[in-house]
Amino acid sequence: MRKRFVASCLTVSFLMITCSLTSALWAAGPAPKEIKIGASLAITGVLSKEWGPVAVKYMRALETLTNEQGGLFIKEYNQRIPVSLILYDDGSSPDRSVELYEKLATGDKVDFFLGPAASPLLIKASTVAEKYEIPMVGQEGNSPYIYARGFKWLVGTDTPAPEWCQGHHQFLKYLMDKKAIPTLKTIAILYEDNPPHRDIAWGAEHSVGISGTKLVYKEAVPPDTTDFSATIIKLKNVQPDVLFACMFIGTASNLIKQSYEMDFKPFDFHAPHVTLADPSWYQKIGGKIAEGLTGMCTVAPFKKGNVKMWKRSLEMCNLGPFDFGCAGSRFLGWEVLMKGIESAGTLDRPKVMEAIKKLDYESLHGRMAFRFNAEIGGMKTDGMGIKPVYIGQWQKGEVKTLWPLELANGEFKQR
Amino acid sequence: MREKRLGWALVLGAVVFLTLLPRFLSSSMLMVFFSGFLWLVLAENYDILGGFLGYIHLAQGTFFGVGAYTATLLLKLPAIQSTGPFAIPIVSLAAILLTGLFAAAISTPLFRLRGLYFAVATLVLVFLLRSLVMNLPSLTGGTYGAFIPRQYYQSTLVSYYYGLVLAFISVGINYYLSQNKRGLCFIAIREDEKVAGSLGLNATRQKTIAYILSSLPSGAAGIIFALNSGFIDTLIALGIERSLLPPLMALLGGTGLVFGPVLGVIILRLMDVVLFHYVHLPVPSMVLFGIVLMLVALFIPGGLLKSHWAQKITKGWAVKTKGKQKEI
Amino acid sequence: MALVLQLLVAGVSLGGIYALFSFSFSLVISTTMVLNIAHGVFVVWGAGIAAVLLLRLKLSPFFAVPMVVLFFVGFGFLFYWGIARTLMKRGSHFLLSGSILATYGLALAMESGLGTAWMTFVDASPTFLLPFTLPSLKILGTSLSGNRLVILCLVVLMILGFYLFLRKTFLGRSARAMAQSIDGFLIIGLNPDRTASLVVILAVVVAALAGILYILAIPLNPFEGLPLTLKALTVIILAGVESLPGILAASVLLGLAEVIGSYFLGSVWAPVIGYGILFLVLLIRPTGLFGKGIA
Repeated sequence: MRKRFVASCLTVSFLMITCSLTSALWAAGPAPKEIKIGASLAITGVLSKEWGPVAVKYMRALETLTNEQGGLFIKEYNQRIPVSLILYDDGSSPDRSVELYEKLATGDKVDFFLGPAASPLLIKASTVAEKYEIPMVGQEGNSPYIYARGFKWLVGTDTPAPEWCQGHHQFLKYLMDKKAIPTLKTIAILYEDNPPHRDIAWGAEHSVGISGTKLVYKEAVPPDTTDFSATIIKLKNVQPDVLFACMFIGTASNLIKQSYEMDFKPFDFHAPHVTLADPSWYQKIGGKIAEGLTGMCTVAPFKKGNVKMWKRSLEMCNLGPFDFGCAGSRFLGWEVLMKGIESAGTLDRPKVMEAIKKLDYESLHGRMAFRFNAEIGGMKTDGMGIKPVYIGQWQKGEVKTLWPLELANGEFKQR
Repeated sequence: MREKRLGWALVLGAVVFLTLLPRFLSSSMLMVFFSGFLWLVLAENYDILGGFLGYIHLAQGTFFGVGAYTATLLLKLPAIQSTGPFAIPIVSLAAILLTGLFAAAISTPLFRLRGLYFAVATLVLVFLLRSLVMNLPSLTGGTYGAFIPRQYYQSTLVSYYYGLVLAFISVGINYYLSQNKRGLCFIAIREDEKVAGSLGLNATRQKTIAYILSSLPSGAAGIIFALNSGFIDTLIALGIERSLLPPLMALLGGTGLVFGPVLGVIILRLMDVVLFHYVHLPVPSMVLFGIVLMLVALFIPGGLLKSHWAQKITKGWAVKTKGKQKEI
Repeated sequence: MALVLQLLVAGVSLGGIYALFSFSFSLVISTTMVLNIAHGVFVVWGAGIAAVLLLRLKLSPFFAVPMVVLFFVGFGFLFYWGIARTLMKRGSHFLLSGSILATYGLALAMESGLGTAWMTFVDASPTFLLPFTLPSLKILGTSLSGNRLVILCLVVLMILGFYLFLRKTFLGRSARAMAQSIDGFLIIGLNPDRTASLVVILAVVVAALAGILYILAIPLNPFEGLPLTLKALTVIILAGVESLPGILAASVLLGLAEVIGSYFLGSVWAPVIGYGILFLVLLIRPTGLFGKGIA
């Protein structure tokens, strides 16, 4: 009896020692002559359906393109230094992403961070950036509350969630002024109960003044809801002119299908996610159902900025512009980081952070800069960008960009 | 008795080793160990119910979540903040107390069930609690989550030591139970609840005690986690993994054995670190992880410490609980 | 009246879909005592494979569906002999804990495998959805979903088929005998392996087919398997395992309760209603509302 106890302690201690020693050994690493950028991505796990292996391919393409000319020109050394991207799979787990960013900071000793996927991971990973004072450029995760914590080492390139629907209200006003559509009076908002969509819904509600409409129905649905029968029945009683469906594409697909089946047809069915990614979605849900749906896009037929690099990055991955929904913000995030480093002329982190915050240049989306001490979504935020959103509509199997007008390649068609 | 003293020396040695270890660890490994300690707490606490009492409990994470949320929400109150340096101790005490009360309240309906029904009911409880927390945003922050005020953040180093102490206590509790009459009562209930009752054992009372006992360190683990994390929400504090992984760890290492969960935690953490921190596979790590779990379950029932070759190597291992599992 | 009809069709069709994969789930439990957590993942795999065959390779349903069936016959065979059989050799406590551990591992591996395979070989967005849409039925001043009505009919047919299978065929009766008393079963001289393996294969195939029907109404992604298993577990606990009409009734009740609850309380409370009902039933009548419960 006692012997067994002793034996067990021995074995357990032995295991512990081996593990910690190997890990301590592994922790030390060399520092090569390159600019190291680290990030974790949701390559596997529940979030991987929006990021996944495609995200890795895309990020690598950006890295390759940047290094084609030898990398970034750093004034301090008067030479070009290549960029090295170190990526880990966080398996969609916030805890693991923190561990990995710690590893990137102290193990791989990266110079700069790019953000992980999605708000719950960004919010925790950014604490690592703040702790070690490493500049982090967040690319997705656009809820204001992430940027309302007074953090100094984080900026975000994606359009703030509350502003996602602002553009649509402007677009509707434009159409009504032009008399292209009848005057719309009422809107309804359905949103999935998670932070980004609550913020998007907040924006949809608070921008009604722009289009002169009135909110008559607002409801939250649990994440991943499959059955909307009860809600659709209620919506049919209210008969709104416009429906804002702020939810992920899976949930939105359920809503759209069931609305069609139950004969619920608002004048404008606006679901931001349906024109964001997945060009085969039109076939998947059926053309009759998808035709005429409006949504939000992060891409458009770009005319300004580094269009050449944008197109090449997609070509290198065999992606169409709508294949990888995060491509737009990831490209912008990468560009911001590269420009910030070059503008600072050094790899000194505080200087690069300053340079990033002061950036003001013409990107694919027009003017790109960060806002500080700005009130967004009812909160005081620092470091959110001004990337606009584009309104798209499914027309005959394609997403046509309708707004802003300079980039539009189609016109609004009633469903 | 010399062996017993040797055993204690070894345990002490392990504790001293772990105390000195942070000096040699990278910051990410520090985090790995810290979260490892928390998992160990959950796994050992689970084993009080799963191993000793024989009830498969799939809601260990609810204790964790209740502890984390209580601590976080209380720290936001100005009344608490005004107590200065006493804020964290007060809040911790309150959170642990609340976790215990929660356990006591829940155990009454739960223990009317056995076996599969008990397991399912506990699983349902996790989802119920999550839904409730999500649907009461004015109280809990809902899906936005809750932030811990900055002045209360605890560095990973400090949290590491709190975690170590808590893990030590949890293993200690299980050891104590394995040597003590109370533990024997639990085992008697596991073996045959009716017979135990006829011997004069108040099964209901024992089960409630076990449940509350199992909840307290887990609740404390939640508090430590929240203080280090700075931010919690329903995914982070009440996620399903915190309820499903502890039973897996205990089963993997050897359920009903004091050091079974320790081995289970070590193996799972090792796999996690190797697969996600170091190896870049063409196949997703989750696939391998799942396959390994499946193979262990199929070929090594009862956990690794109970397997044939483990027994042969060490002529019977950790402090074993008496009696075999019931066969049909 | 229109409201009642709409809620009714919505609730009953939702319940019908739950009934399909819940019943196959209960078949596996009653013959092998294995709690298959990966069951929902089988449903999702069925949906995923069908989606690839029908949409990507553009095969006709007359080829695609039998191919799916064939695949899952093989898969069910492996599942029985590889996993279920190994677990069945143990005592009940280890059987329960072992089956949870093993099938959870299987579920994790399968869902990640499907997700990554789809994203690498098919397209970047693993959503399984079938675009066949039928016109809605306009009756009594309201529109009812044609898709849902057809699914409902198919579900009823399949359940009727099952009922006849269990009552009239030899295999069905052997399965019931096995569930009722394994000793009696052996005494009569029947081969438990043969019966159990055939039943498990059938159950796995039905789960895959349920997945195909599911995506006629509602899209699935690779990670929705585990919540589906939970749904199935909810239903069979509500109903009691042996009772087939009970399962149908319980599924429908659950579907109706969720829809009605959503209507009056708001959608966010729908999950709470589902879990709350389950919790209450477990406390008050653990053997289920209709059946004899799991042994």
